[in-house]
Amino acid sequence: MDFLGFLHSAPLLLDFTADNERSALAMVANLLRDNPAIADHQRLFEAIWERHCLQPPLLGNGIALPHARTPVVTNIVFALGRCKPSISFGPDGQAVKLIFLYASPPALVTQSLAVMATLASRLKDPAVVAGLLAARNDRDFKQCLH
Amino acid sequence: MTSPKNQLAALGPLARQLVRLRVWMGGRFRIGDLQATIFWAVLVGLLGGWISIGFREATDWLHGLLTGSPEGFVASFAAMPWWRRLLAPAIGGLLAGVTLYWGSRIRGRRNSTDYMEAVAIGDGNLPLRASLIKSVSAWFSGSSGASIGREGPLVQLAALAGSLIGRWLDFPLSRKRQIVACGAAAGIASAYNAPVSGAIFVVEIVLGSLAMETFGPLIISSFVAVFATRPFLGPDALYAAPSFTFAHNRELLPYLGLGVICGIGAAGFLRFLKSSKAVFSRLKLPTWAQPALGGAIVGALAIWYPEVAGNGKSLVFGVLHHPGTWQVLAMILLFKIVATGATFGSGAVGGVFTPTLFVGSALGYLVGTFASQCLPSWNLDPGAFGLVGMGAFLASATGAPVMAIVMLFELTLNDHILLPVVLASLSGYYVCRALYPHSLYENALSRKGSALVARHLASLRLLDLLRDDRHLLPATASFGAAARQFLQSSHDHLYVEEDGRYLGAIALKDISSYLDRQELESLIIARDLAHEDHPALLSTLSMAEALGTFATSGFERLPVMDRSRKMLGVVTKSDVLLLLAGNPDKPGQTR
Repeated sequence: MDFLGFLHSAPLLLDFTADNERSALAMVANLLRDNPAIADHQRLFEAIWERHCLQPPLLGNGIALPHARTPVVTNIVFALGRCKPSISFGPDGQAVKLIFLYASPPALVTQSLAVMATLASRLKDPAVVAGLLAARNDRDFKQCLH
Repeated sequence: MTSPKNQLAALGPLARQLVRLRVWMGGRFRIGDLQATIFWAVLVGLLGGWISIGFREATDWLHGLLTGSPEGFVASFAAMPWWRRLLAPAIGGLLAGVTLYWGSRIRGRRNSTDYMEAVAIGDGNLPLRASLIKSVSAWFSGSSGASIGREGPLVQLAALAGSLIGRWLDFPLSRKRQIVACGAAAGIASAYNAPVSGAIFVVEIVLGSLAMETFGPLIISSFVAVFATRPFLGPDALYAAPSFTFAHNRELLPYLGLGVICGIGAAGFLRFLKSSKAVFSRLKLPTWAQPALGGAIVGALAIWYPEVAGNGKSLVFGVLHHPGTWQVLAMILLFKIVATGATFGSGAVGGVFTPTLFVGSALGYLVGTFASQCLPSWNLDPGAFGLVGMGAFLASATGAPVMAIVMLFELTLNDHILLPVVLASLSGYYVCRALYPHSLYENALSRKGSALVARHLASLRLLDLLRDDRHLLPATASFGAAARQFLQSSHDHLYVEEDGRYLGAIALKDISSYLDRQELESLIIARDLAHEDHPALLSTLSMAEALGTFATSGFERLPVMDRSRKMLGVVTKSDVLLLLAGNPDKPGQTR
């Protein structure tokens, strides 16, 4: 699984503002609008939002990993976002600053789990999170994930 | 199903280690349906063996009480005055008849007590009280000198033990039938000290087809039953025979002739048994009086020839070791056939397996005597013909040549005789089937009526094999909850439902590498892990269609759902195979 490859090619939205979690997710998902691996962008967002509503995938430390398995994508796709100021996510109102949104085809269960596990493991490191929050551009941001 | 609180609880270090152990064990010591079946097969085999010992002891005790002698049937009847020879089987028959009459009055359940029916076309349920009544009746008949074998009640009781286990543990239909079949195999095996034949008996006669799914447990039960009885009965063959040699291929010719004669004789024997039943039913005697009359007929015959009393075991031994003159043997054979017909026709409960062995061995000996006189230079041994005749007649009468061949070897442990036995058994079988299409045991099923068979077959549905699945996960269950559920399950897949509908299955192998990732607890739910393309069976599928899905999917266990995708339970491939293996019809015709 070329996890870094996925992240490097992922579009990033830095320091955006949004009114609520739904619009925040929509803005990050919108980065994937022109991705050829996505057949229907609207359905992709709906799948991610539906999954998010079931149980928001929040890692803590201001990080959200919204995701979905949906047939509208032909491969794993990523979109990244950093919001400023933070946005309240979930029923507990956790303050989220970093969003790592991804989607995978339904058949890629193990690959999807591997991506999630690798990413979550990397984001456990406070230094990585601090670097992501301080990154000034796309290159610095993705460099922190190495 | 876990509570919401549990679903969100983190997977602790101990639970994590346990899941790891579970994955490791699962990869090396997979405990699935097969292992469970083997366990039950061993248990039923043990019970079958112990039942056999108990029934033999009880029979010997009652026999001693009725005849005043601890000797075998022939010796004890020979020592009795004529009036006692007449009375003993008549009284035994009366007791057997009264037992059946009393049993028919108090019997509440309508389930058949026939283990063959329970395995081949029934639901695997044998009624306890009716089976016990039948066995007690057989005990009275068998102990008092009726010309009937004791294998009937032994098989009945062992099959009953299997049926009770299956019922108590709520086995699905095919598994229950399998465990009843294991009991039947254990009963035959322990009755004749013949483990392989016991299993083949059930496969060839009751199930009518051979599949490893069915044969494996049967042979395990049979062997265990024989091991259980050996400390009591000894390791020797039941009918240890003198060593016969097969010297020249030309000897196969008279053995072929013997096979043909046995086939003709068996057809006549089967017709005679059927006619005996018809004669008794025409008499319109009360239920309790029929076995009494049958016993009285045996007793009357025993006044002249006490050899007719009992199952005929000592007679078989006599034919093989010291047959006497052919004229006397011919008379005993004639009387024994009449005695067996009288007992069988009177409705006495038991088996005609051992009497059949005697008829075959005596017929074989007589043919051998004739052949040796016609061909003196060939040095034919009438004793060897007796042995081969036993197998050929058994094959012809039971319609189970493979069982007969194997049983003859197990009964005598004489391997020199195998080639003539194979030839004579097969020729006898085909001749008998050409003359009389029904075998000894087919009669039992055909009497129940082909309509009943057809009705049972038409009613077989996938739902009959359904098992409860208590490891169903809600789609929102956490990663840790899924891992814990695997700990409680012995299977490699967990099924996930969403809004009461089947969603897919989680594979243990998918999550086993990530059990130490605590951070996944809040990120992953069961829905994220479910393979939505995991095959499921519609409850309306036929057995053949279900088997096809199992074949293409490669899974041993599949969920079953209704048209609204509500999960109803699970079905295993073994259960479908067992049902089809025990089904005398083709899979596609089961619905």
